[in-house]
Amino acid sequence: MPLLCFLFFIGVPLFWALSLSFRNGQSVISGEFKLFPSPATLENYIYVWTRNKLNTFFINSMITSFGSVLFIGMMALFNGYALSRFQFKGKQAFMVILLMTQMIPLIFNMSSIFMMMVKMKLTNSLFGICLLHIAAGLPYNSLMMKSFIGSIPREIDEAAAIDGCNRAQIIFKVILPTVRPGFTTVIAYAFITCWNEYLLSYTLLTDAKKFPISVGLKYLVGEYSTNYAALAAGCIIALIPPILLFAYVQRHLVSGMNAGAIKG
Amino acid sequence: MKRQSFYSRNAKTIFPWLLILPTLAFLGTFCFFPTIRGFGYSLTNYDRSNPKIMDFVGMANFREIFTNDPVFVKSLLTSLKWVSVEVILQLVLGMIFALILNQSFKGRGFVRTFCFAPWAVSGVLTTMLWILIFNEHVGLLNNVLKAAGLAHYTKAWVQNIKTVFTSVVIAELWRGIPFFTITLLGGLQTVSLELYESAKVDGGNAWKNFWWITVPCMKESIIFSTLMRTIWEFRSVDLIMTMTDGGPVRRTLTLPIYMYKTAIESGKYGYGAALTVILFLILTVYVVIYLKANNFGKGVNE
Repeated sequence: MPLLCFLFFIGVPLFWALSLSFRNGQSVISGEFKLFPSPATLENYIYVWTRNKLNTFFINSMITSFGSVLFIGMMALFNGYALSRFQFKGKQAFMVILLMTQMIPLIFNMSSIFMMMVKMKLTNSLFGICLLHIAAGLPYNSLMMKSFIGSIPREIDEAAAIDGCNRAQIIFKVILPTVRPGFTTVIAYAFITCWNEYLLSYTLLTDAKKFPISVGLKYLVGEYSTNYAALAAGCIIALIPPILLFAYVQRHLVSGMNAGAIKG
Repeated sequence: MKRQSFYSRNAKTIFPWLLILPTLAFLGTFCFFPTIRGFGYSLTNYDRSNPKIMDFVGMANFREIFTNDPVFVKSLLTSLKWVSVEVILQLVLGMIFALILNQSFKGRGFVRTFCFAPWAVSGVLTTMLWILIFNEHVGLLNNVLKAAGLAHYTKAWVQNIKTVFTSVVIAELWRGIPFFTITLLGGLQTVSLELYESAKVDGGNAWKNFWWITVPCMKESIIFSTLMRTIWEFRSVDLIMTMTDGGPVRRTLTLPIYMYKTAIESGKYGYGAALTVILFLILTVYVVIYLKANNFGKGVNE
């Protein structure tokens, strides 16, 4: 019974957005109450995708998310490997640095970052946004990667070293394939975070051609008396990538997040 | 034992340093440098609308905040209310659902995936989905009320000063509970079933089991998730900013949003930076006390 309430609570907003997105604009404005749209129409999707430039926003989000995730994945792999396999001076300090970034919230740095980006002429640039996404995503994903690699027995890469693999080969040919599920999880997690990121893009981008989907959606509200059916359709479009990715890695994610939890 | 020597042989190499160097560069440039710089600005009267003036004013900003800024006090109280309501409700509800989802029943895998889905939908999207619920004209809530013959209860939930806080809290719960459920569920799986078996012999009931076995065993998970969540809720801006922008009449103006508005929107960097420092100190003090009180962190150094 409580479970049903919970499912209801989780499902209602999703369901309502879905239902609104298929109704035609007229019936939404006139305030008719319908749970199931009839006749169902795709016009909102077409409208929001072409007229409201959601296609541009979608592509911008894709570019920044993929660009950042590529680097986050690489560097998290390196960090995770270094932290779980080597004992070196400064390792402890590095761990503390990673944890500390979690304590200094992004919003604290927002004003300095803004000024810095103005000086570097990186406002209104997707490249600048990528740089910041990478910096924001690295610490947590590195810690997650460390615990994933830590759960692989050392004997595997030690054996590879004896067989004459060099260091790059160990990382890419031995560690990476073995840690694939964990790596996919980190990639997906990083992607979802970048995709949903709002504050940085909202502060640094003023050119509407550069907006990611999160900021673009916000501008659908109240631009010229909000078209709620179109907004709902926009939401559904924006939801698709994170939900798909999430469903794909969800199983590993539970163990990955907890690896972080148990080790503090 | 020859094998074990591979990594210890490398103990003196700079190779691991090469691996972490890019990360250090990134974090240094985009995390630590701005933080230190921001702290520096808190001692000046820098104003973006008048960038030629930047004088060192010492503690003047802080004096102003503590003695002569009613908005600061109000936003701090709003923040405290926001954080405590959110964290407590999320912990309690998240715990209940973790316990339920830990039982085995048909279709559990699907239900789990479904329940965690809001976690993948953060910030702005959550706002948009809930705007579609709370909206005065097309919102589901008002539509249902009308259909149930309670038309005089309908209102613009997010614009109404009486209901705005609750509305935002509910929207935030929607995406917050799944996080707790995920972390606690993982913690539940570490509780050994034998403990329950022996408790059965001793005649414990479900409540006693929960209180004396489940909670102590999951202490680390609970502490970790509440800590992360408190920090996260304290600093969270995206949902409130997009849903209400701190309004109406500052009903939902939390400290980070006040800070953002001062520093970025009004361009008063010096003052905004001073607010930032205060925010940071509050969080640091909280984290230290919290960890000390819970004797946590023994595991951090492995």
